[in-house]
Amino acid sequence: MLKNKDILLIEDDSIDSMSFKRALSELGIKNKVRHVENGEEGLAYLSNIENSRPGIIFMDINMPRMTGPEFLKIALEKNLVSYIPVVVLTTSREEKDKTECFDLGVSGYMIKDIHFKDFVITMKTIFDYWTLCDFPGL
Amino acid sequence: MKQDSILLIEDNLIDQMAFKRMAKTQGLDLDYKIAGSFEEAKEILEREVFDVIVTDHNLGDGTGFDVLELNREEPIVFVTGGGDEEIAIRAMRNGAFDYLLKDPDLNYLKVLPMTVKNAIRLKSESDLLDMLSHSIMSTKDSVYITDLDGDIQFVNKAFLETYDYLEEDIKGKNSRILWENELIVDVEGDDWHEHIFHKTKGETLFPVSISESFILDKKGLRNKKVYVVRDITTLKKAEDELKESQAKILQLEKESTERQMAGGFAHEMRNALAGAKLMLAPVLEDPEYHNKSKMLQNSENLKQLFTLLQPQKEFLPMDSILSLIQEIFENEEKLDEILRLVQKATLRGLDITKQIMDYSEVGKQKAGQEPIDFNLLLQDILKMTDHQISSNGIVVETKFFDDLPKINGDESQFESVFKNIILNAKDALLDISLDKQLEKKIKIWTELLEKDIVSIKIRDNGVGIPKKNISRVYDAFFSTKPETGTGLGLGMVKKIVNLYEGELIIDSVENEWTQFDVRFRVKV
Repeated sequence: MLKNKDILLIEDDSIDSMSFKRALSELGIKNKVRHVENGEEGLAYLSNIENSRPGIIFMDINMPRMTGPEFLKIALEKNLVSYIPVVVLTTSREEKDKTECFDLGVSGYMIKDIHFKDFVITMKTIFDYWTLCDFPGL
Repeated sequence: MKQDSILLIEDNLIDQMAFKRMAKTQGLDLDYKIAGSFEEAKEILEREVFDVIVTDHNLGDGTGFDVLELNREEPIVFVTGGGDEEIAIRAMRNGAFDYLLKDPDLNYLKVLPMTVKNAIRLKSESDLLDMLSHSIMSTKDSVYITDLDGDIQFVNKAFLETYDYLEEDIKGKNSRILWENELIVDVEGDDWHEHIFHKTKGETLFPVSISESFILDKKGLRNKKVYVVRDITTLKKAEDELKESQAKILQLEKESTERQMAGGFAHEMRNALAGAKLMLAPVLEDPEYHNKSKMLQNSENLKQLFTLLQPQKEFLPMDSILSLIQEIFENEEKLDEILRLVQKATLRGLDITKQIMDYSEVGKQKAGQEPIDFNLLLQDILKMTDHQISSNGIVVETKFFDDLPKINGDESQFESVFKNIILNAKDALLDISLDKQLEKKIKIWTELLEKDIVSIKIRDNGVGIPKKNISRVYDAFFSTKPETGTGLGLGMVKKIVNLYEGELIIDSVENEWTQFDVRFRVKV
């Protein structure tokens, strides 16, 4: 369950991350959002034992320096994301991207909606689901 | 002044002479004839009428009693010899008006003129009384007379018929029992009072028009009350019928004005709304940009603009720019949302104006002539409306009468009738409160009644219609659904059914069910 765990957002686009935060505030979700701008920073964040483990990770695919899938591959090897659902937020509808992500065991793949309203509904569904879902206590 | 005329029947010549002398000497204003025998008297009376007949008892060829038996209108004064009082009394019993006893000195002749005058006066008074009492007895209005306590002393024939009493039943009873709730209303005065009800012996109330007057005693004090009562049931009925037909005419005029106004108004509104619709469309669905709204295009352009600025980000106040962008985004989203609401309202407005225009056209519509199979028509309508009905969890049950005769008419008019009723049934079912656990059902069945009446019944187990609303459901603009209804549906249904001389019967129990029964007669 997410409860009051942090949310890690890996997203290089300032406007998209702005929309993400707006959607959360619209939904009244109070969890802290830790925002990093690429995979490399994401790895650094997770490796730092001073940071609390996030309850869920949202990541973009196309980012400078390190893409989403590249980040996930390394994080899995280093055992940094065990029991953390990873949801892809992207504008890419390409089959190649989808298979790559699911091969890495992502928990979800969401195409960013054009309308902000629809995006809010998508986010609500994701949060409702993962709030209900029980996790092994770590 | 006309002279009083007398027929003297007297066989005694001396007595005849004495009479003539008396008439002459006393200067009596008399026009008399003398008959010397009963036969002669009979002969004269066949031709002439007198004011008084004076007859002697002994007439030779008859007696005064034979004269009485002629049953004449004239008062008869009977003259007998002295000591014959017995005969005089018998004569009085047999209808003589008065009697005189002959004395040997013939003094009776001196009294005769006064007796005659008296007889004439009394006769005319009794005639007048007869006439009055006859007219009161036989008038069509009920008359009853009471004493000052209200106890009934006299009633006429019309009274007995109208109030259904026997004379002996009602005489002496207090007149209170004739009034509604036994309350005597004060109706004193010359006017006829109305809006008053009386009741018969069997307690049946009837409307009356009533007048009250008083009989005064010799001192001029009120002595009796006279009531004249007219049963105005028929009058009232005629009045009510007149009122009803006037109301109908008014209603028709009202509807026709309503339709004209509504039609004109709707036409103008439609033009305005159509303009709004036309202008909104390219803003909300721009065909040149994949039907995206202008607002969305703005947001996307802004986002691209921002991306173009990215390489310069070290030199730019990114935080301020981002917060401005956020503000613009929010405004654009709001605009998008509101314009969509405006568009929705516009479309609904267009829908309503269309319905109003249809309604205003109903009056001008003509009945069609194609033979329509209602079983098929209903099945088609159910197919058309299925998405609105089954998606709301409503089950439709149908039972169609085999070989239902076809009714001549216009398919689109009939379609509008049944579509309206079925969609009404749907709305009634959607209004049921959720905690009422029941299967939402619309039952539709067709029947043939009395061999030539096609009946289509549509019944739902929805919210029903409150009793107070049932009579208003056809009124234009009466609706219990302010959100979706225009209040024209059932009025239009009724108009079309009337157009085909059909019948529309609505029956409902609030919170239980509503049933529409549409009936058309098969025309040969």
